[in-house]
Amino acid sequence: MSGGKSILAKKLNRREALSTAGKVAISAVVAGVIAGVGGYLAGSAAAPGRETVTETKAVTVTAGAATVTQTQTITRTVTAGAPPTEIKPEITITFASPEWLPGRLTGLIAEKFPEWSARKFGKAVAVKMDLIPWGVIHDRITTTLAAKSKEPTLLISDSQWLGELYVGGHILRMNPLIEKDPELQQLLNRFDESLVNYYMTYPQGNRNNIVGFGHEGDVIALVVRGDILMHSGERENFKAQYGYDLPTDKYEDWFPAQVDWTQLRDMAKFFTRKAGDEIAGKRLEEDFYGIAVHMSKEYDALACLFGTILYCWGEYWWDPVTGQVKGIVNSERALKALEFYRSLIPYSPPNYLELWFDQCNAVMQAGRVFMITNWVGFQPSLFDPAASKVYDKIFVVPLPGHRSEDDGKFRRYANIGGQPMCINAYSDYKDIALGFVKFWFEPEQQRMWAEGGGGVCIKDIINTDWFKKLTPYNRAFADSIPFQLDFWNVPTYAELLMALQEEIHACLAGQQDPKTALDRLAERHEKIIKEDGYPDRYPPELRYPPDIKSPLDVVRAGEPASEVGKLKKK
Amino acid sequence: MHDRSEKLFPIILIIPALAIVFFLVIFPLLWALGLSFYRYNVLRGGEPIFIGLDNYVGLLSDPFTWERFVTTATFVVSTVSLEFLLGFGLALLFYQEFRGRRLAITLVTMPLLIAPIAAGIFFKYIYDATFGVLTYLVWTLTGMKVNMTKDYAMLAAVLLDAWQWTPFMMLFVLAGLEAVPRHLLESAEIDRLSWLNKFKVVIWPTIRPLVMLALLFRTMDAFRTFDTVFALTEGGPGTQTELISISLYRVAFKYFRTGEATALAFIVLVIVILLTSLYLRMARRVGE
Repeated sequence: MSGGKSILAKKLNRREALSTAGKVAISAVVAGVIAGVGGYLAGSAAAPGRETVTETKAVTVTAGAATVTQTQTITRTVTAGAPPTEIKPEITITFASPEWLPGRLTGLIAEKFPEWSARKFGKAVAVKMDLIPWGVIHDRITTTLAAKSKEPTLLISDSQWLGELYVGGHILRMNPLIEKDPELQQLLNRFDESLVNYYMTYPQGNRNNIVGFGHEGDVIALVVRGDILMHSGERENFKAQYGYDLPTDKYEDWFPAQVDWTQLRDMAKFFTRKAGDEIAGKRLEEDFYGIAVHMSKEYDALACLFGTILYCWGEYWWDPVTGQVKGIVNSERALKALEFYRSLIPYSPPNYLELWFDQCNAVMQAGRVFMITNWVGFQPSLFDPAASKVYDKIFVVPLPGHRSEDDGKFRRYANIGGQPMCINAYSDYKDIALGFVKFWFEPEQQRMWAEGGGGVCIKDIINTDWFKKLTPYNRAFADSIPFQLDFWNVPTYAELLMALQEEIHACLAGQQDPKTALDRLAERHEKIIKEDGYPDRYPPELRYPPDIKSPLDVVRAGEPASEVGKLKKK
Repeated sequence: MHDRSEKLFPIILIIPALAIVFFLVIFPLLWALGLSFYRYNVLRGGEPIFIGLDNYVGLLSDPFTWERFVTTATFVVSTVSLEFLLGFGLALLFYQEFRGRRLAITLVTMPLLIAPIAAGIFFKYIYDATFGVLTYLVWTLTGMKVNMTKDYAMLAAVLLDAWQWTPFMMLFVLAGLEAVPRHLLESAEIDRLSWLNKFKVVIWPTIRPLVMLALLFRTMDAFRTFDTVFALTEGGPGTQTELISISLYRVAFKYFRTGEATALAFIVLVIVILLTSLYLRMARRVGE
């Protein structure tokens, strides 16, 4: 400090101060840019070294056509020093996927593809992931394909986009390639019927148009507070009030047992309490809610949950053969389904109009609800001790069904989630993309997929004990797959979906009664379908074939969901 | 010869700028105008079909379009009025000298620096009826459980917009106030004019052009508000806060009815132009 004033003591005039501040700001920006570029280069160099490490017990399980290695459930993603392969890729293809765990996991597994492709094709192919946030992925993919871009070669399509992508000529019809390839033919038989119908075909169930392969399987399942359910005092009170026993926390009490949605409402009502009340012997500091189900206006949030209830009440959205809507979506059965859906509101959290996967998880993680419905793909955080107060108090079971008042049949259906992977019709590397499909469904990749938390679509893996015990929700996922249905995947799906979300959301908000909501919905849907010219203006191969069973036929008759796509009896 | 090159030189200089404006603004605008007379779905492909004014007729005879326009008008009138009143009040407050004035102005203008989409998401959490801070505060203070995005969705959207854009209005008015000549104010003081008369005779004539400009900017901006309301309510509950811009986004990028979307965009453009000329005329009339 010798020979001058302390910098703190030095007086600056305004000009000097501004000049100094400017220099500091410019230096910071330059340093930031240099650090950013350096970091990017360093990150790019380190990227191939990431690896999933699984602590395994080497027990081989053979189930059907699949051979998998049984492992313990501890999976860790680490950054390893060396890349998994020394092979230098000659070609790079892009895979567009939502930015979420399954997308990132796909990227990790795809790091093995250069070695695989070098062995199979004689040229190493790298797969570069293009991870796109869920909120914008539809806009990004559709606008990219509308511009006839050659990349991404592979893309994740939500199941309902298949029609608009296929009819527009943007994704590949794979039948000619499958016919020539016994391996792919065999692969088709390894998917459950529901997954073939809704992830792979257009129109749904028409195997003459295979346009994708199931990638991320997902279903809605029920998450229940076991500690509250099993409290002896609560059980006695419930029986005294409703005249029947609560199911226990034993899985079989919920599935295949025929639990009814109306019983779920009884439970929701019974367990809804105010702050200051007691629940399971403890005084509540905050309000406690009976149930949280998806009711948000976002994307397809309420459509999937209301659809689930609609199917269980024996009704569907439309007749995909004729395009008829009126008398179906606004039928007596549909009205009862909507009245039931709305009747859950008094037992829901106050933000019920915004409930979707995040909000349902949040209220359960905070320990403020007895049960929620949610996509299995979003359930891992419920079991994370760092995120959830109830991680060790909950269990997962398949959704209930409903015994119809008019025909006495018990129907258990749910609206499917999940996504297929499709091949860009403009890509130069369609054969390589098909190679990736084969690579993806090999047992080793499927094992990594399952252990990392991906939704496996191959039934001979899903049905193994190994898979069912891998996570707390896999068993419910496996048992739910066979009763899945989906709404329309026609090119106008987005308009149909928006009309549905608007009318039903307005009904849930109390702006219109259920009958008005369904009548308005039927009116709007019929207008959209008529203006689009379905089915008359569509070539026969793009219409729903009249000789196969549609979801409408199956739901109304109360047949298993696997009947969709089967030939009608003459 | 020399004269000619002297005349040509400035023209040559502005050609690059003109070319940019032509290719990036005028040409796409004309192309879009042409497209609005066709039935065309960019995702479905195929040849565009010329349908004349059908897109315009269809839109203007559709009750849903009018519902969206009424919702948008409600939003625009509410937000601009509220922002004007609050902004004016804040400007008058900050026109006084007081300790910490500059810091207070900086803090008040902070919302302008936040991306509208982020502001929408913040407010969604603040309003959340189960976990939201506002809900908690209201409940603590009054014992009432308020559900903003269900029961007062439009008000929730207006308050969000006002929170973000009131400082903009304030800055314009404050700039106007700062420009009022001191000697005129002093003369008014000497003449013992009442506050109202001082405002009418001295202040208002000076700040009027800036206020009109601020109102014009905010009206145009509020008319095309998209991100805040989309993030906050997605247009819901039902269609209660479905603004015309949200509708336009859905028609263009969800339904891919490209021809119809461009027609709707031109209807919006015409309305904004009409509003602008109305404002300018009003500003001129007040000036006279």
